[in-house]
Amino acid sequence: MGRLREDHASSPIISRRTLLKGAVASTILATTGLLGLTACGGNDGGKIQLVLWYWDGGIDDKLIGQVNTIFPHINLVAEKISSIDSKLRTSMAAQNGVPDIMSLNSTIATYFPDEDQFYDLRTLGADDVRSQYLSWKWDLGIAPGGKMIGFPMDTGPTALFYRSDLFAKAGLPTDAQQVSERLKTWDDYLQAGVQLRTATNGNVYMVDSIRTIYNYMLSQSSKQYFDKLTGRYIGDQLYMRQMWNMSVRAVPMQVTAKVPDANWNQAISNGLVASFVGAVWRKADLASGAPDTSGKWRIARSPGGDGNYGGSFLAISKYCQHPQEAFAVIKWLQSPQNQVTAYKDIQLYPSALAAFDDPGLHSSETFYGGQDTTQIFAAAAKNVPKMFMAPYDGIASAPFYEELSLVESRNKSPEQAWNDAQNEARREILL
Amino acid sequence: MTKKEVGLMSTITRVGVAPKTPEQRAVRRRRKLRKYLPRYLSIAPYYALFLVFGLIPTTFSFYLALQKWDGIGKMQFVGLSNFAYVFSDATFGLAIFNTFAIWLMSNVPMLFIALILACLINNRRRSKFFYQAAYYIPSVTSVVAITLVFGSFFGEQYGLINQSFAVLHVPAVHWITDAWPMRWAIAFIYMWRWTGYNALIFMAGLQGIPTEYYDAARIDGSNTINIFFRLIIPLLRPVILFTVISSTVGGLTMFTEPQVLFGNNGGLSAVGVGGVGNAGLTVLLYQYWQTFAEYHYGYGAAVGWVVFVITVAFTIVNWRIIQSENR
Repeated sequence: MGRLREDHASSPIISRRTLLKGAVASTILATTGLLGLTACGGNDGGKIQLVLWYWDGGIDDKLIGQVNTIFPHINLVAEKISSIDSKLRTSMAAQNGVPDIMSLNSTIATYFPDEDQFYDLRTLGADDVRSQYLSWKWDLGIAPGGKMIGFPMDTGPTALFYRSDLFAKAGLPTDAQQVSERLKTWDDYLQAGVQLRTATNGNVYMVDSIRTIYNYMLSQSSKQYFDKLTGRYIGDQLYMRQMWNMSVRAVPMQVTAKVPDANWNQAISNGLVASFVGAVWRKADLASGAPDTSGKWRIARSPGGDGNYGGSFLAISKYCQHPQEAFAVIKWLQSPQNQVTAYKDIQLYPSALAAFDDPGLHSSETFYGGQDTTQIFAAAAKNVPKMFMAPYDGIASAPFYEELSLVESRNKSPEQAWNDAQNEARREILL
Repeated sequence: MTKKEVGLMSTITRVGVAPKTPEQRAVRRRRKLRKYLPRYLSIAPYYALFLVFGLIPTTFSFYLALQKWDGIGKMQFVGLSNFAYVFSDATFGLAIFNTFAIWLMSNVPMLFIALILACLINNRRRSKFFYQAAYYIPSVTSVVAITLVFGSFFGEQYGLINQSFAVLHVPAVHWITDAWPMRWAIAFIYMWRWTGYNALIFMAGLQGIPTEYYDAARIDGSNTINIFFRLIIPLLRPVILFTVISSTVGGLTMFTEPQVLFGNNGGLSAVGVGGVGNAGLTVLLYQYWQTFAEYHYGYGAAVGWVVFVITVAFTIVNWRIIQSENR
C-alpha cells in the first residue's frame, strides 16, 4: 500500500489544486464572457470602434469590407447575427451589448413603441439626403411619434410573375405590356384564371394560393390594420372586407392551386402554377426553387396596382457614443452607387432613386427569357402608395392568413372565417 | 490501519481538541472552511452555471408571467391576467389537444415497437454492435435535417408517399393540409427518431434479466408470447417507467418537427406557425410563437408555467399508472 499512499500524498495535491483553479477560472471566464458580450462604441487604438449587427444577406459583405478603408479613423466590427430581433431585444432589455448600428427588417414597426432606444437620424442630418430616396420608403422608417429610427436599405416592389408558355397556351397575352393591360384589376386576373384553367383542362392554376392574393392586395393598400392617427384597429372596415372577398372568390372560381408553403417549390417546378404576384426578392426563391423552369418566366406590372412587401432599414442605438461617425457609415453604405453594388452582389433591391436608372441594375436576364425585369420593378417601386405600418400589424394579420388557409384547403365558409379572423385579431392585439 | 481504527482515532482527536473559547471556535471554523473549500469549489462550476442559466431565469420567468412586456420597454404589472388569457385562449386549448394527441399517436406504438426490437436484438447471438449503432443514430441526427427529408416524403402532389399511393391506386393523403394526417406526419417523424433510442434502453434492461428465468419459464411450459408479457414486461417495469417518463417529457416539449414541417418556405411571413388550422401547433411552438414572433414576453412566460404544471401532473399520472400495476 506504501507506494500508492506516497503518490497520493505528494504530487497529485498540486495537480488537483491547479485543476481546481483552472475549473474556477474557466467558469468565471465563461460566465463573464457570456454576460459581457461586445461593448458598445469605444476607442480602439486611436480608432473609433463601431459594432454593426446584421443578418446573412442583409448587407453586402464586400461593402462592409471597404468601410475601414474609406473611413481610416473607424474600425467597423460587423457581426452576422441569426434571429437578430430576439437578440436585439435581449441586449436592449439588458441595456448592455447593444450594437451601435443594426439592421432592422420590414418589421421595423415592432420597434416603434420603443423608439427611445434609437437615435433620431434627423438630428444627425438625415434630411439632407432625403430627396435621394423613395419617399414612401423613407416614411416607413419614421415612428408615429415623429422620430426617424430607420434609414432606407432595400425595398420589395411587387409585380406579376407569369409563365409566358402557359399564358400562350391559354390564349392570354405573353408580352409584359399587354399582360398588364389585360390583367389590370384583380377581377381581370381571376377571370383570366378561369380561361387558363379551361384551356389547360384543369391542369394549370393561375395562382399558388389565395393567401398570395390577399397578401399582395394588402401590399398595394395605403390602409393596413391600424389607423395612423388614432392607432385604432381598422382591419374590420370595408376596404379590408373587399380585399378578403376578392381573395376568397378564387376558391369557387377554381383558379387557385391551393399550394401550401411547404410544397411551393414542387408545384412551381411542375408547372402547376402559371403565375403569382410577388416582391422582387421572390426572384431568388424562384431561381433556387424551380431552376428547370428557367427562360419560361416573365415579369409584368401587378394587377390592382403597385405595392411593396419587405425591405429593411439601418438604425443607430441610443447607446452609441459616436453617432455622427455611425451615421456617416450608414450614409456611405446606402449611397445610390453602393446600393447598385449591393444589387449586383447580393440582389438587394435599391431604395435610392438614382440607383434605378443605373445601367448596373439593368441586364438581359435569361431566367426571364432575356427580359430586363428591373424596368418593371423600378417603375413599380416609384409608384408604391404611402402606407402606415403599425407595431401590431403582424399580430393582427396572423388570424387572417390562418382563416384564409382554412377557407382554401378545408372549405370553411368565408363568412364564418371572416368573423373568426376578426374575433381572434381583436383578442390578440389586447395581449 | 483498518477502517474501524481510523474512525476511533478521529473520535479521539476530536475529543482531544474540543474548542472551548470563542476564539478557538472561530479558528476551528476557519480551518474547517479551509479544509472543505476545495470541495465546494470543485462543485462550484455546476452551481454557478445552474444559478445563471437555471435558477435565475426560472425565478425571473415567474415574475415575468405577471407582467406585460415587449422585451424592451417598461414592464407593466398585470397580475394574473396572463394566466386568465392562457386558460381562455382557444388556440392554446388546441395546442394542448394537438400535443397530447401527437404524444399518444407516437409514443404508444413507439414504446411497443422499441420493446419488441430490443427483444429481437437481444436474442441475437452474434455481435449486436451494428444494430445498436444503427438504432442510435436517428436520435443524434439533426432534427431539422430529418424533418426536411421527411417533408419531401409528405409532399402533397409530388411527395414519395403520395406518389407510391398513386401507383397502388390509393387516394392521396393531404399530409400538409388536413388536420389528422398533419398530426400523423409529426408522429411518424417522432417515432422514427426515438424508437431506436428506446430500444437500446430496453436492451440494457433486458441484459439485467438472468437467463435462468427464461430457462425456468421454458421448463414450466411458457411460450414466447407468454414470456414476453408475463416475464419480460413485469421485470422491465423500472426501465419502462423511465422510458415512459422521459418520452412524456420529450413528447410534451415537441417543437422542431412541426416548426420545420409546416414552417413557411420563403413565403408569407404571417402564415400561422402550426400549419393549416394550427393542426400541427404544439404547446411549445405556441409559446415560442407568442414570445418570439409576437413579442408577448410576459404571456409567453405564463404559458411556460402552465405547460410546466401540466407536464408535472401528467408525469405523476403516468408514474402512478405504471407503479400501481406493480402491486
